[in-house]
Amino acid sequence: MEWAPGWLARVMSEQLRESLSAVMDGEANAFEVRRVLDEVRRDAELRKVWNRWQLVSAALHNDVVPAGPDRADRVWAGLSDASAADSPVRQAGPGHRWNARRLTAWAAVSAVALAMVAATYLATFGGDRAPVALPESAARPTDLDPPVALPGQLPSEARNVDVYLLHHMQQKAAKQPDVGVFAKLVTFERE
Amino acid sequence: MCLGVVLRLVVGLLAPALAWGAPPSWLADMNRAFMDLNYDGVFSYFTGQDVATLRIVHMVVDGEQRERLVHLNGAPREIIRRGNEVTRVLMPGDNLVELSRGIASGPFARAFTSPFDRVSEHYVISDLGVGRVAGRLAQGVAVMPNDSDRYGHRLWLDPEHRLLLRSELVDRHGSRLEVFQFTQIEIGDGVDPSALEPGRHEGALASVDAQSGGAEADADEARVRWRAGWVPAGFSMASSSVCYPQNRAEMVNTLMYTDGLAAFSIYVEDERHAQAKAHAAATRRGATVAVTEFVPGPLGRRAQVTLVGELPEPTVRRIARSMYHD
Repeated sequence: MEWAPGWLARVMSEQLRESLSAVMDGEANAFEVRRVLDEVRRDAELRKVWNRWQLVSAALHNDVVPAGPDRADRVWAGLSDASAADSPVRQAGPGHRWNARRLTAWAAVSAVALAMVAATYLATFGGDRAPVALPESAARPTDLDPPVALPGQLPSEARNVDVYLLHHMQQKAAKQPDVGVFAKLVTFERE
Repeated sequence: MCLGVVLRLVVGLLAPALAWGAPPSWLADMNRAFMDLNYDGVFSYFTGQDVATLRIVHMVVDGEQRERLVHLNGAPREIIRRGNEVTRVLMPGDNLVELSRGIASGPFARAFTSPFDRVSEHYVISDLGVGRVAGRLAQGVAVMPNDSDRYGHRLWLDPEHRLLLRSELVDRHGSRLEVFQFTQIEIGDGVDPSALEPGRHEGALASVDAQSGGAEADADEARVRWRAGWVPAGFSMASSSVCYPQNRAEMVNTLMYTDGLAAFSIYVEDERHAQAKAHAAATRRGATVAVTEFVPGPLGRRAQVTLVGELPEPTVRRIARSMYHD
């Protein structure tokens, strides 16, 4: 089903739409993230919206992240911090609070991304093979209970090449911009 | 025949006015014009398969670069820049937009400027004569490579303001691979500042970011031990890093090379983790081509090399096959 501007309003309440928007904008707290994820898990149409918004969010927040000491650990540490951020006894300055809120949403989105990796591996290699490259913590249930089947997209050759095409254009736009790469980025279509 | 005579006369009369000096200086002037002038124009970009149509408004207000870019086809999308503050306006559910930090980290006008005037070692710059683009007279300039490992450019500049009105990316046979062209443009005092304000799109989302403007360091540069055994003359490495492409847990080595105009990126990953199968066909988006090759990697394993760039396919494959682990 093609998305249309009026469609969203029919499917979601205004409040939920705002919450989903807040999640994607990195402005939601952990409670909102959980609520949105629960709604998304229950509703197939919402999952389509979520998938599409995720693509936009990933594009806005730069899909390709530099390698850190342990990316997965940072994600799950972020989830722990998210719980702390919700605690009513937590007292922090405005800057700290903002950072925690952003981390919360980022961690939630990243958790879904990790779940995608797990789902992808299981679907690609069969259920009897564990996702070897993932840390153990990524496979165990958490308080967020990320919906493993949510994105439901298998990698394809074309999609994988798309990732590299897009990354190349982003690098070129940053280091050697020209109007061609600029136009291609603004109009990039993944599918 | 009469028309030909008239045209020759007109061009003859105009010739003194178009005597700007050597073509390379025109190109330097062109780059400055995109950053310094006020303009409001609609341009199209043809990539062989697709046509993108966008409106760009650029003004310099109290020394501050202010710009607005509007995507005119498909879902409404706008990017508005005021100095370092960037506002993006999107419709929810728009899965087409791919706007990177890179594109937003400087004025959009920067994307129209390329160092054509500083690449004379590997390109030959020549005068293409006078033509007509978007209702204006235009001075043509060719920037053609002196080997077969990169593409050429044909440019048409507004004689008065020296803005780029049309550009073509062409292969060695002169076939057009990509074409950029303004179809309508207002330059100078006639540009209305209200054109910088975002349009009204019901239900659209807006996000505002402050850009630092600084280049991001490649923190993991030292970890990249892959090298290209051969690259065309004039190309040097612009960056290298270890990345995790979206939603994947395995690392990929990335390297980028540029000669000042053309660029290519190399992605190397262990064959066991590679999600693509090697296949002969290249993937294309306009002049951008992506090819996959396998090369010997460390510990007796094979590595998959994906090379993406705006270069002829034989050149891209030769570079990919030359990759080795240091």
